[in-house]
Amino acid sequence: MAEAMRLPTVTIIQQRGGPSTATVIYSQQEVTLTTYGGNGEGMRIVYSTSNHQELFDYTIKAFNVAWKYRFPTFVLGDGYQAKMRESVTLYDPDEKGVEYVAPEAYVGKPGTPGVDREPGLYRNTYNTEEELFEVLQQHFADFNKMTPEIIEYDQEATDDADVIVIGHGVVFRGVRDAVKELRAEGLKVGYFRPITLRPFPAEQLKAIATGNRKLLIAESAEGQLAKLVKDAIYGCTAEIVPYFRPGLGITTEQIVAKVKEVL
Amino acid sequence: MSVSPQPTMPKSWRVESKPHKFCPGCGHGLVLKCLGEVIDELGIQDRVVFGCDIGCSLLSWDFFNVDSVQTHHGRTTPVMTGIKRANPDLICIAYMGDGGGYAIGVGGIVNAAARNEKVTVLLVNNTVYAMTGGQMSPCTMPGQKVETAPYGRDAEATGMPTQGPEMISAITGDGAYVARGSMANLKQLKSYIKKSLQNQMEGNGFSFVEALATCPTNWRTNAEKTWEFVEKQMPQYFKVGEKKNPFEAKKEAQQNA
Ligand SMILES: Cc1ncc(C[n+]2csc(CCOP(=O)(O)OP(=O)(O)O)c2C)c(N)n1
Ligand code: SF4
Ligand SMILES: [Mg+2]
Repeated sequence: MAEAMRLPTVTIIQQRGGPSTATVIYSQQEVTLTTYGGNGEGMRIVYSTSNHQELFDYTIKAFNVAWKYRFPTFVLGDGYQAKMRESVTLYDPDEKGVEYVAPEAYVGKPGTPGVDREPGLYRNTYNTEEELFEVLQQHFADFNKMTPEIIEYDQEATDDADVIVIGHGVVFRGVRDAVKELRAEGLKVGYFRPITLRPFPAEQLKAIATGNRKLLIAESAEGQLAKLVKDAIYGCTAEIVPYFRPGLGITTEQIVAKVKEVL
Repeated sequence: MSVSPQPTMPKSWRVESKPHKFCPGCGHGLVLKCLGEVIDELGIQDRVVFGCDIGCSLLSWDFFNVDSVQTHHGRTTPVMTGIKRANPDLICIAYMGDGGGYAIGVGGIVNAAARNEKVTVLLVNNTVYAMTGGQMSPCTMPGQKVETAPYGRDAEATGMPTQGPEMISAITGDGAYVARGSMANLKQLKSYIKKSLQNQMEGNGFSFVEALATCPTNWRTNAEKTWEFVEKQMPQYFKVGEKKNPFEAKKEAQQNA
C-alpha cells in the first residue's frame, strides 16, 4: 500500500534467521524480502547499516529521503545490531546541520474539499490495466531519476585487486578488517560494500567487475546479496565466488582464509 | 402532469463521480446516501476522512468530496485509527464489508474496539464476498446458497453467522456506541450513523454501525426477493437495534441523579 500510494514510510528491519520462526539471533536472510518483498515491482529504498552509529545516522536520513522522494524507505540491520552494545553518539540533527525535508499532511488540509480545494483521493486499486500501467511508468521514472542522487557504497583497494570481497551490513566489518590484513601481507585484495541495497550501486560495481578478477561474495544468507550483484553486473567478465553462510556470522579470520583459498 | 424532481444528492457527494458504480439495487449506495446526509447535517465535510476497504466498498474511493483513502483489504480500521491519532481534530470513518471487517480485518477491528479508539466503523453486511463473486462470508446465513456453499451454508461445518455488533459491544469500554441498522429502515439507519459520528466528535469512544444491505447481483434475486431477504430473512440472525448507547446511558444517569 505504501508503494502504491507513494507513502513516505520508514521501516527498520532487524533480520532474523529463517525460513519461518527459525532463530531470533542473527542472519542476513531478509535481504530479498526487504528489497523486493510484496509483488516485487513496488519501488523501495533500502539502506544496509553495519554498526550502531549508522543505525542512528541512516534512520535520520531515511525520514528525509522518504519525504523527499515519497518511496517507502527501510533501514536494514540484523539481530547483532539489534542486541549488542557498542558506543554511539546520539546527537540533535539540527546541531549537525541536517536539514529536514518538510513533511506534508495527506489529509485534513485547510478548507472544505470540493469547495475550497480538491479532496485528497488516495487509492491502490485501478479499474483497468492501462490505468495501472501508466501509474507504474511514473513510479519507475521517478525511481530511476532519483537513483544517482541517493546511491551509496564504500570501496577500497580495488584498483589493482585480484580479489574484491563484497559484503554488506555487519558482515562488512569482517570484510574491511580482512582486506586490511591481506593488504598488509602484500596481497592484492580490495572490497566493495553496497550501502543502498536498493537502488543498488550497479554502475559503480560494474566499473570494477572487469577482467578475470574474482568477486568473493560473503553473506549470512544463501545468495541473497549475490542475486543483487549478479543482476547489477550482468555482462561483466569478473568471476563470482560465493561464500554463503546462511544464518551464521562471518569472522575476519574466515574471510582471510577464504580469500587465500581462492587467490 | 408535473414531473417529479430528481431526488437531490447530499452536498458532500462528489458529483464528478456520479452516477456511482454500484449495481442497480445495491445496498452500498443507500448506506452512503445516509452517510452523506449525516455529514451535511453535522456540517463536517471539511473534517471528515473517509477510508474504504477492498470489496465493493472500494468503489467509493472517490464517492465524496472529502479526503478519502482506499486501503488494503481488512486494513481500514487501523489506517483510520492512525490518521485519527495523528490528527485528532479529524473525524475518521472506516467503511467496509462483512468480509473485510469480520474475516481478514477482524484483528484490526477487535483491537481498535478493545482500545476504544475514537473512530467510526461503518460495516455493510450483505452476507457474501460480493466483489469477488459471492463466496461465503462470515455472515452467510445457515442454509443460504452461495458460490462456495452451493447446497447452503452448513453451520455444523462452517459455524454460525458472525455477530459483529454483539461482539464489539462486549469488548468495548464505556463511551462506545454500537448499533445494527438496516437499509430496510433508512431513517433508523441514518440516525444510528449520525450518533456514531457524534459519539466520535464528543471523543467518547469507539463507534460501530453494521448496516444490513442488499446484493441482488450475488444473491441472484429480483427486486421483490431482494427486499424480502434484507427486510425479513436477515433480521432472523442479525437483530437490528442499538447495542450500546452512551447518549442513553448519560440520560439515565442524569435521571437517576
Ligand atoms: C489481501 C487480500 N485478500 C483477498 C482479496 C480478494 N478480495 C477482494 S474483495 C474480497 C471480499 C470482499 O467482501 P466484503 O468485505 O464482504 O465486501 P463486499 O464486496 O461484499 O461489499 C476479497 C476476499 C484482496 N483484494 N486482498
Ligand atoms: S456485487 Fe453486490 S455489493 Fe457489489 S456493487 Fe453489485 S450489488 Fe452491490
Ligand atoms: Mg460483503
